[in-house]
Amino acid sequence: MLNTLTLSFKGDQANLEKEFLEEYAVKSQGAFRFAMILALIFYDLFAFLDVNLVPEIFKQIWLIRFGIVSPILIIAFIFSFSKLFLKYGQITINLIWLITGGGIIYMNVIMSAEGIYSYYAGLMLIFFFGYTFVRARFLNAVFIGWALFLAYVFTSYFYTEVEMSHLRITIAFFLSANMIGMFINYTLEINDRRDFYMRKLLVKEQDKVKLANESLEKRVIDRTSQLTRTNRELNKEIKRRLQYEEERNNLESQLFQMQKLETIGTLAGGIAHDFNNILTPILGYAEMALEELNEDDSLRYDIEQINNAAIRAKDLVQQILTFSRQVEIDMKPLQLHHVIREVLSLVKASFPSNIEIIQDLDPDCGTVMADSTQIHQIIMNLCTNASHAMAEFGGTLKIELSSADINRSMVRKVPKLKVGSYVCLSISDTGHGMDKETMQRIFEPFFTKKEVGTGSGLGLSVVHGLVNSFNGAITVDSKPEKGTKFTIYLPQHGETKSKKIMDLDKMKKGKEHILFIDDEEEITFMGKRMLESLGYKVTIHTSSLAALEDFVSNPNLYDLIVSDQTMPNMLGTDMVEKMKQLKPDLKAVIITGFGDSITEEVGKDKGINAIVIKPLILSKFSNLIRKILDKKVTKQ
Amino acid sequence: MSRVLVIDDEPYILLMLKKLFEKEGFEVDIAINGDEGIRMFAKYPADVIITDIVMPEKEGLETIREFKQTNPDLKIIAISGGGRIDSKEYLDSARLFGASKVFRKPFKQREMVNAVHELLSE
Repeated sequence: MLNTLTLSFKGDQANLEKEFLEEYAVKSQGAFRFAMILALIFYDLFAFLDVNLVPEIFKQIWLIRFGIVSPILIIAFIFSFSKLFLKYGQITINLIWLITGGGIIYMNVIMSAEGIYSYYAGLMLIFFFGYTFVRARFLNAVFIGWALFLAYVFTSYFYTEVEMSHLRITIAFFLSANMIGMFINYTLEINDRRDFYMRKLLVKEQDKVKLANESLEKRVIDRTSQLTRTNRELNKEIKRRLQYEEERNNLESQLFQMQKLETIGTLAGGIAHDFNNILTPILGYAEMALEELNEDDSLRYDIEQINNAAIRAKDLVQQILTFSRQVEIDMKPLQLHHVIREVLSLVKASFPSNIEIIQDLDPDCGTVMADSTQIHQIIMNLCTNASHAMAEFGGTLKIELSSADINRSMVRKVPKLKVGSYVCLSISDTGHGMDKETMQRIFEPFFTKKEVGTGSGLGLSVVHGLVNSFNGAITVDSKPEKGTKFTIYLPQHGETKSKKIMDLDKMKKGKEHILFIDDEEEITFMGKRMLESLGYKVTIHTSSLAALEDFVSNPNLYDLIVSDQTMPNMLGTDMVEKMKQLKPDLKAVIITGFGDSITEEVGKDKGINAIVIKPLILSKFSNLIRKILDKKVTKQ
Repeated sequence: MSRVLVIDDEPYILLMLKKLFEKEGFEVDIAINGDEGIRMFAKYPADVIITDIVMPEKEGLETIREFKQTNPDLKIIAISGGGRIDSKEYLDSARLFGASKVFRKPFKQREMVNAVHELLSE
């Protein structure tokens, strides 16, 4: 890394040279000043010797000491404070060395015979200074050192009368002094350079460490902020998930409630049918018996009681049917506030005085399609319930009527609603309220929290059934000891897509080709007439085998198969299965008798689109056929 | 003497109506489903037929249609207690198929008897 001779940096470190020299100059500044002071002291101190040793020429020597060298040393000392010294330091050092050394050599030349054996020693001191204190650079120092040595030898030999033996000794001294000086100077500079290099290296390493530290710190900051961000996002995500979860749970429980109510409804319909069959003979025989008994017959009272009880049972069945939406309703456009006022005028009288009634009715909230008697029943029922809830401590009954625009988020909460305009009726009380478990079950028929005997438990289930039959929805919100709020949403008239009653006379028609199969010819005729009246093209068969044969020869002719299930030779479902092997997307409806054992599931397995139980009701059947024919085929 | 044929899958109703109309002086035949009703009618042609709608085997609407096809002037009364759908819809359909009068179960004996008399006097 260092040039052995010039000692300058080389190779990779060549760029260090300039910086080193600058630093070297700065360092030499202090040493140089000190050297100048010392040189001045010693150069002038020896002036006393001049007077003693060589009084004859002391004036000449003093001229050199005080007249030439000392001023130059002072000037050099002053110059060392200038900025120029940093640039011209080495030249100055070398010049001073040459001048002081030259001064000694000159003194030696003019020296008398006595002094010649002592004054040469001054040159030793000069070598000392030159090679060490002043930080002359090696090559310069070598040049000056040897130049002074040669000058001494040359001048002594030619211009003095010094004895040769003495000269040889001084030459030997100066030679070795020069050699030692060179060595010292070399060592000093090389150490300086090494020291400089090591410091540089240290700084570089420190820089590296600092840089590494900084980048590490930056990474830590980056990571921390990244983590904070991720954490924030995670928290958001968790919150969102929780919200979804809650929404889903809410939906699931609502769906479950809906399914439960629907199942109960279907069950109720079946039970009602059986009850009507049972009640018919009870009422019938009771009526017959009453006709035969005399007015004063003691049995008369008993049978009247049977009759009355059976009539009550009949009413109950009617209520169950209301819940399962199997009653006829007379839907007309209706403004709810009239009905509400009517009900309130009725209930006010029966309410205890500690219940305050607040009305907030918007008469412009729009009309709904509903049966006024049944709306009456709904409001009456809810108001009565509210009054019961507040019977003990009193409170406030609040009835609000307003229009409501149902948006998607609302639909998510109450799936029965559709996006659109609704009329919103809410009835709230400040009564005892109820817990969540009760809230989930209140629309179930026969569920009641009232004491046994105070209610049939059908009230709210009837309300629920009625609201459903108006294509509306009812929600309940309650907290124990805080009160209960029922909210009913009914579609605004014009928005209403009423189906049941309206569509009864509006048969869905079509032009598709239907293959109708029943082993009884009469029925096939009836089916043909029925379906043709709706516009369909109908081909009939009384034999499943003949139908299959017909289908195999023209599989693309028919859009729909309508077949009886129980036929000789082959069941309807088996026949359809065979047909489907030929035309997998074939649509089929199976008709079965009341009490026949084919379920929807079995039908689905065999690829049947619908199972219809006899008797066929034209309005229902036409809708069903249209629905099946319009359904897009999905490959399974 | 006028003859009434009652078709219902509920034996108690059959027996009750049999007693009711016999008391009124009618000859009464009973059948447990549509097919049996049609067989019974072939043997003993009735003046008025009272039939239920939802029954196993041959149900009421089909039965009404078949009776009407062979005897267009036959007086038929349909009765129903509902089922998967409201009895009103069954009874509306029964009217379409040719039933002259319809009753929801349970019905008033007197009204039923009056209806039969009314039909016979037409």
